Amino acid sequence: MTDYILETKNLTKTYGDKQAIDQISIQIKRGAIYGLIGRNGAGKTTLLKIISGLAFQTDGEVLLFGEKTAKTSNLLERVGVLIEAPGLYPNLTAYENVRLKCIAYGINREGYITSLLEQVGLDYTGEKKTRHFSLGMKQRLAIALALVGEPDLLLLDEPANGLDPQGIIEIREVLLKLSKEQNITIIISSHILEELAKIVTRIGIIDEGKLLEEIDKDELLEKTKDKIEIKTGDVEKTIVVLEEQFGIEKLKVIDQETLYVYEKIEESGAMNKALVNAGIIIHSLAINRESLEDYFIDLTGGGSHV
Amino acid sequence: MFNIIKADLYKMFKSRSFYLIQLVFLIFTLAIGIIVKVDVSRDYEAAQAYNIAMEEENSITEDEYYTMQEEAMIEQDVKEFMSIQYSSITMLMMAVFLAIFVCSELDTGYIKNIIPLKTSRISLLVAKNVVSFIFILVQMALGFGGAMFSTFLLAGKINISNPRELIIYLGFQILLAMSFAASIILLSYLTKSKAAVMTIGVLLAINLQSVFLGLLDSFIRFTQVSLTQFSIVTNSRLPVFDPSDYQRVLLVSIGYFVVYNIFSLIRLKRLEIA
Repeated sequence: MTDYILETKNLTKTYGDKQAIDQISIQIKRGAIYGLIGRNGAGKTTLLKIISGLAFQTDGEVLLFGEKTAKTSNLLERVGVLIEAPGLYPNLTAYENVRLKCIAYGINREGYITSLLEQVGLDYTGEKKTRHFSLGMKQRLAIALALVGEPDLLLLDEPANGLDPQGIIEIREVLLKLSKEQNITIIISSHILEELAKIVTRIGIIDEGKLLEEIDKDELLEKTKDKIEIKTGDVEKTIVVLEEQFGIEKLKVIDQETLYVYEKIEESGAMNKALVNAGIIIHSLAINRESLEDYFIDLTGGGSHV
Repeated sequence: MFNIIKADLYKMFKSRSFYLIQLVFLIFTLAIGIIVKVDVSRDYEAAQAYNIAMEEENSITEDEYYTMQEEAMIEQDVKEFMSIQYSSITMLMMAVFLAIFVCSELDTGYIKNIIPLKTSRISLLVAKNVVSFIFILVQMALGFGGAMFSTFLLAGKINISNPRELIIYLGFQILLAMSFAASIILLSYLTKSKAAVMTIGVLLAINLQSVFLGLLDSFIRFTQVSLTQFSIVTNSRLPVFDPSDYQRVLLVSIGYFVVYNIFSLIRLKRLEIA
């Protein structure tokens, strides 16, 4: 049995002349929370739609649970979907909306609907119609709908879109709870980088339909941590001086003349002086403060917000 | 498939438009009898005014006049009143309901919740046809009740002169209505617009021949049968047991029903959900 709950192989989607996604290959392990980050129009939603069967790829294939979805369409029943607007009937209550999907899925367990609504914190809504719900409530109800049928995989397209900070926190807590308690694999797309980074275990960065990079969260945080970048004529001697005089342990050699130092950032001036006094040629010494946005913008080569 | 049908029926019975449209139809059917009754009264007053004006010596009394009307009304049995109801207004109402019902599935995004299910696309289409059938049955029951009320109001009794003829008539109404419903469902999936479907539905309901019907006639030389021309099988002056007439309507309406549904299925299979 494969470890990957989802794989895409050279997935491509073209609308006329426009290439919405181009040769995207990703692999997502069971239990992961995978973040898809990209600008508006980058291809995140298109990718999720193809995986969930709402759209059809031009080329490439999708494997769910190790099998091609084209051949065994019942695999999609194990996938919960929240893509773009939540699919709610405005004249029905939260309970009735969930009940509608339960009927379609053939689920008739007592207390099932109430427990789903409790999970997303909507068990108090009673007879209130969803047209009177706030955006945050609608998003939470949409998550409840996506959870009908106990899916193994959740596809969430910008679930925090349009929410206030409190709403974002609520959604995040619900998703973390689901991942921890039910070991559900979650793919979540967003353009709120800082928020996404708090929840995901792995990130895929998409721009103009192409997958630019896949990176584990820890590695990303490492790359975007504050650090001192030293360009030196003698890397080995530099390391010796830093270790002996400052007790530096967290450093990384990048190439023959560059290394990063991740601790005692505030002593950068003293380090510079010590290295010079040791007769080491220092080409440059600077503090890099790269935010996640900076990292993304550098990667995509764009200046506009994500 | 059965679960998706159940879900659609649940939706239908929870929708306000279903009850509102049936209520309007019920009022319409009850009003027919009242309007005809009022017309009869007006006829009498007009006849009296004419007699007085012409100074006829043998002018009829009111009782004599009503007796003459009642004898004429006996011919107007339940089937005739139902034939008045099954006109443009009935199909217009069905077009409005189906346009709202099918398009809202796409507008709200509810369809996204269902698509992951196996055989969902064909199941959705079957479910819409089941909903149409139930809608037609409810409308027919209300129409039948209204027709009985009308004959009672006018003739003092519920008049079903030929039950077998009535059953045949109702059977054909269901078939023709289902064919019309299939065309509305197809239009809904094609346009995804309630306004567009209602507009086209109105045009079809007011006896505008569909393009498909015209093409079919030119290919196979059927005498034109419009899905909206219920009068062909409802006109009591026609020889209603003429086998060739019923056979033609039966074949053509089944044919339309099948073709429209095939087109709808093709459309659904290729539909990318926005």
